Amino acid sequence: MGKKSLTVLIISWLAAFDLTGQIVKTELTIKDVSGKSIKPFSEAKPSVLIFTTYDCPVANKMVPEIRHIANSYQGRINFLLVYTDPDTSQNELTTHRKDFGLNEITSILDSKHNLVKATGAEITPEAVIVKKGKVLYRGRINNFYEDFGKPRRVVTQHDLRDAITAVLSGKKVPQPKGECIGCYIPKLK
Amino acid sequence: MYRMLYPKIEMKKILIVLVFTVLHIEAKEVTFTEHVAPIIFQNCTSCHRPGESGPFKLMNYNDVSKRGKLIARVTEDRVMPPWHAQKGSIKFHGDRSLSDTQITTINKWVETGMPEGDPSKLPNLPKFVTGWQLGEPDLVVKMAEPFPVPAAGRDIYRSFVVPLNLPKDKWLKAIEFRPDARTVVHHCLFSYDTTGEARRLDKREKSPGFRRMRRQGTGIGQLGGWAAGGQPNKLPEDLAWRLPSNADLVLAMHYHPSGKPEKDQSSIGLYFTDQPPKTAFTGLQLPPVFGALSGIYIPAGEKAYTVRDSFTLPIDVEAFAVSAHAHYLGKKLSMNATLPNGKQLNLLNIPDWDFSWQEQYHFEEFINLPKGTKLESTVVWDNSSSNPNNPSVPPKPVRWGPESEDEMGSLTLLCRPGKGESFSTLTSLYRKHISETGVRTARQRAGRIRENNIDDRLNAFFKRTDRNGNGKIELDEAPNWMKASFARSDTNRDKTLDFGELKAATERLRNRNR
Ligand code: HEC
Repeated sequence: MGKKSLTVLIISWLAAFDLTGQIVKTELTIKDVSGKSIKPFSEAKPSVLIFTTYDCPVANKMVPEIRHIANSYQGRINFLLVYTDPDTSQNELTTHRKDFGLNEITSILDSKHNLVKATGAEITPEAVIVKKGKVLYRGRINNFYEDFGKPRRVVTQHDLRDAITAVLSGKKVPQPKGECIGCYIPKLK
Repeated sequence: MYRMLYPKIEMKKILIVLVFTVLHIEAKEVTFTEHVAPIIFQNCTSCHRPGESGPFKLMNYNDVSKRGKLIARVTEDRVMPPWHAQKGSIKFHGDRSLSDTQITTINKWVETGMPEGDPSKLPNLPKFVTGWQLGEPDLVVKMAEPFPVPAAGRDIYRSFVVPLNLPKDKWLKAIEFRPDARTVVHHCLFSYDTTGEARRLDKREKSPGFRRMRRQGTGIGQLGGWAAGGQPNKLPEDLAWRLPSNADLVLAMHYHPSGKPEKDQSSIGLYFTDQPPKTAFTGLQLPPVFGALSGIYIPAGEKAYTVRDSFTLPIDVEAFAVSAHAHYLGKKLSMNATLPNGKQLNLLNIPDWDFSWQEQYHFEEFINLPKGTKLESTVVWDNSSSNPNNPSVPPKPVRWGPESEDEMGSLTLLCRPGKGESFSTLTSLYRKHISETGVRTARQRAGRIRENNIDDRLNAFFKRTDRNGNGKIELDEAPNWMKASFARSDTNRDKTLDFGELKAATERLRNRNR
């Protein structure tokens, strides 16, 4: 069996243990990067979480789309950017947020992986939508990356935008999960 | 019974123990310090260290182990280290690709939990040269002003002119390119211009630089290029480019937005020699002029549009480098040599072309190609929607052209004449090959146009003649000259002529007149 088919097998196996539909604790309280206490899942609005690290090139290339989504659904969703590498220094965090124009977006350094575990995220830049404590979407932002080192010239599928639109209009998310190309979220030591 | 069974069980036990020990040894074998660090330090750290193009550093156990799974994946997919030439019998200078064994080692290490191993076995980091890789250049120049690259959007192609103000003509051995905004500069092609065209174009546009050089030919010359991560190479032995004193340097840059706005003002180091070369060298480009004369027309949806070209060497040559060029739709590019004794040499094979990593591949040693060697190049484009690089969704027909959404495609072999051979024999026969390619394409095209014209004219005639508009020509609609052969042309004998019958009849006539 080739490595590719093994990967496919593992992915389909993982899908069987899929975390969409999983229940997250709505009372969870964490601090954002400015030190403010927030409850990421408490609001009536759906929460949209993007998992990232400051140095994952795949996630960084997605920043313009991340900002676009945060802006276009402003007020209607609870948008959170989650940094997942526990080694991230305060300086790296500040520089990244400033350089990539992310200061306006509520960000969390999830050094204990509270949010990673709660949602089951594995990849950066993976997106998760949670509404009323339920994971309704987990997967890629769009199909910009066909594979590692193979970005598309033209994005043709906007999975996250479609999922948010569906959730906001009370419809079923058309594709609640999907493979996400990117960096693996570093494991806690 | 018991006594017979006993030794068997023993054997089994021993076997199990053996198998476990073997597995155990294997599992225990692969550690970071002893096996993985040497691979990473030698092949990755040159780019993955502070100040270089890699997005993070790979310099110690923590750097590597926390990205272990990702590293296993990108090395196995051969995305990293970036290197697109397939391994063959010919060795390239600075070949970055990992061997299968190295890839397996990394994989095994990741699968077995990434043990760190004995710290005393950790190799030292290689001594990396900081600054200019080829040493202090004889002349350092810089883009006149910073060029802004936005956070997002399509790739940007921009040319810049850098005056050199040389006191006299120079022999140029190498150009080293130091990218400034490393995350966005993907490649740069160098040329020189003595015609003043680059300066004129630059002046005409307000923002720094200009779109591209229009003119080619006399007074303009190519000087190689640089691609992200590529190593600068001096021309081998005594070879050198002649750089006229009135030459401006022209940089054709390719920028790729990184997610963050950047400003780029890259620098260039030039290395000269006082010693004039004993021989000139040339590039044999197949198909010539980046495919401009090959009538490239790639229909929308075509998965493997192929252009081939070949040229038989009129003299012995010594080849020292090969490069490939295509735009987004390029898929496979290769160049082969068939020696007069029948031996085949694969000079370059890029099975999965990636526009972002254009590179010149220098052979480790000169390759002797005797007179009569047939060089053959093959360029394959994929204009289907399953090609992620397709800039058009849905695909559009694409023709040859200089814009990145047009296509080009060719391979170039750099070579000098063999000892005692005549350079001008080579260049004049190659020029003949260029004009023959043009003539052949023009003939084919004229043929196609003639076909199209005949069809168009026939169509118009048919419509005019079919007065009642029933899609058929009845006998009473036919002009007199046609009536004579009407019955013969009516092959299905329905007393009318449809378009197919008319066309067949005309073709018969044409063939008779030939
Ligand atoms: C020639 C320079 C160069 C070398 C050598 C190199 N890398 Fe990279 N690497 C890069 C660049 C540049 C990127 C960012 C790619 C991008 O932005 O798309 C990168 C990205 C990566 C990534 C992130 C995933 C991705 O594809 O974007 C990983 C993991 C990685 N490199 C591992 C390695 C390993 C392991 C090696 C050695 C076996 C290596 N690299 C050798 C330049 C290099």
